Amino acid sequence: MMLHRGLTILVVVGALFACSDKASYDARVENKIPGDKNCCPEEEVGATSSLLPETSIYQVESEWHDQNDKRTKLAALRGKTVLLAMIFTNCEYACPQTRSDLKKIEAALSDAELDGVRFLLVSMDSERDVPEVLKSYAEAQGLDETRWTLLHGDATDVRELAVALGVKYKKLENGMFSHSNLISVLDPVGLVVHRQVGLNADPAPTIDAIRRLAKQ
Amino acid sequence: MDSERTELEWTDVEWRVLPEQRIDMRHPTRDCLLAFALLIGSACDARNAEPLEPSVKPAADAQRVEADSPVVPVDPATFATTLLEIPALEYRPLFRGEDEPSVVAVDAFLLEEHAVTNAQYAAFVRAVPAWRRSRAKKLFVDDTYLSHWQSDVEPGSKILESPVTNVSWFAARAYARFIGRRLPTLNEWEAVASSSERLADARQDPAFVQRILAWYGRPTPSVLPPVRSTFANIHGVYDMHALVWEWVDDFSTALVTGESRGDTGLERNLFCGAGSVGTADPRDYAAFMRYAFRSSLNGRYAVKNLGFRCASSKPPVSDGAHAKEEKQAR
Repeated sequence: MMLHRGLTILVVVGALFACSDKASYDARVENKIPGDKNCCPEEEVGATSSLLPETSIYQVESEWHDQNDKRTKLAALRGKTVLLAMIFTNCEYACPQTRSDLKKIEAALSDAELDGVRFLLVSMDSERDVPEVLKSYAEAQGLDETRWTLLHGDATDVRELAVALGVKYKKLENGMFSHSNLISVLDPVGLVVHRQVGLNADPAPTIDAIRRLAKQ
Repeated sequence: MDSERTELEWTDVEWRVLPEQRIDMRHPTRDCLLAFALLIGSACDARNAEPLEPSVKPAADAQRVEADSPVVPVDPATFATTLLEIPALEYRPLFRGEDEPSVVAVDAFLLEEHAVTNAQYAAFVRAVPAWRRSRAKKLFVDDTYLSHWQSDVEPGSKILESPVTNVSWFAARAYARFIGRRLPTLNEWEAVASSSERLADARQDPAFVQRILAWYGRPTPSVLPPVRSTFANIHGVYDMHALVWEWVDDFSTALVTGESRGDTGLERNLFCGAGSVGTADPRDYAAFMRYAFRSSLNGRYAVKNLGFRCASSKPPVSDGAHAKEEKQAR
């Protein structure tokens, strides 16, 4: 009996809080303020970001270090189709698989197609995956540096990017991470146009997404 | 964008599903709780799922409709919410993997006495136009962001001392960073939240848990009460329960659900290390709900009963010294 009561409470309460933002969505719609569309140019924003869509991943302005210890921003890859995955180099199970999933995609594309494509691996292990570690990882794995970029960043910035991409991860006591397995395809302005979820997924839809972008 | 969202009525979801749920009275708790968490998480995710196609008119929503208010310099005193010293605590996480310890040591840290108020957040957006609702980038906020405010920089006189809500995780973090603080971690927040007025760990106190659940069962009032209107726990921290839900820095570590799309449960190929998640104390429904709630969130969601408070790892400093830090933090 107690259990039933407990579950009922759970259900009712869950219903109340879990989607409680619906009402405010409605309120927001009612309160939409009409106005002059030509007002208020965004004066203080940099020239680059003002041309980006608001939901572009390149709105993330944090600084990163690549495998050659060069300071960079994500927006440096603007103009290319980007395949982005978050990994850590000590990963034994999932990340090697993600990397090989990416390589599968790389192998499936022609040289001409690859011209417009970049592969971006962002490490979630800020402590250990410093640029030198990423460099030797890239070499050991035979990643072509003209196409592959590996990034090291501050833990705060890693978290921000992960949340923006919808990647969940958690550092475990043993220094490993449990994490989502996700490859995001970014279009030239940084919008996520496709997601490959899970390991060893069929790369065909991802390859299609890349080819569609190349035609645009 | 909103009209494209899949609307999924809550009432449709659980009442249709639950009568069909089979409850095994011998091993009821863990599986039921977990199943329910998945239900909440995936239903919300489904409701808020957005199309992945690039937006047709990328620059269209950059054109704003609200008149610009001037940038107002900040009086640091506005942000000087008292930081309380929280001693090192032990915390038993509700959900944990097989290899994870059942007790987590939370280091001593500092936590704000109360949640950030509308007045405080208004001072922040006056000083930092990029976080006004007319300007905040849609990667970081959804359309509900500060939607209950009177204008771009005015919350309205009735709610100045109420906790600010309808703020996204990105926005909460930006505020914390601006004042030289940070969001508490999930473990920090939960460790402090398990304290009642008298006990550091009151989670075994049925009256305490029941009180929290009673609040969870009440709808959010249209005007939230001011901060410090509920109880202060043994650490002197107000309103950890019964006022608003609060963001934590690592909310996205709640590995209850897998990816929002194509979620078929805790599959290993979706989630490295997720196959072995179990609950430590299934009696703690309240904590369970917070986990379920967090797992349904996305960093850009703004929710009308979700606010935040700031924390700090630093040793306490005088208010004067802190004001300087705030300037430097910019």
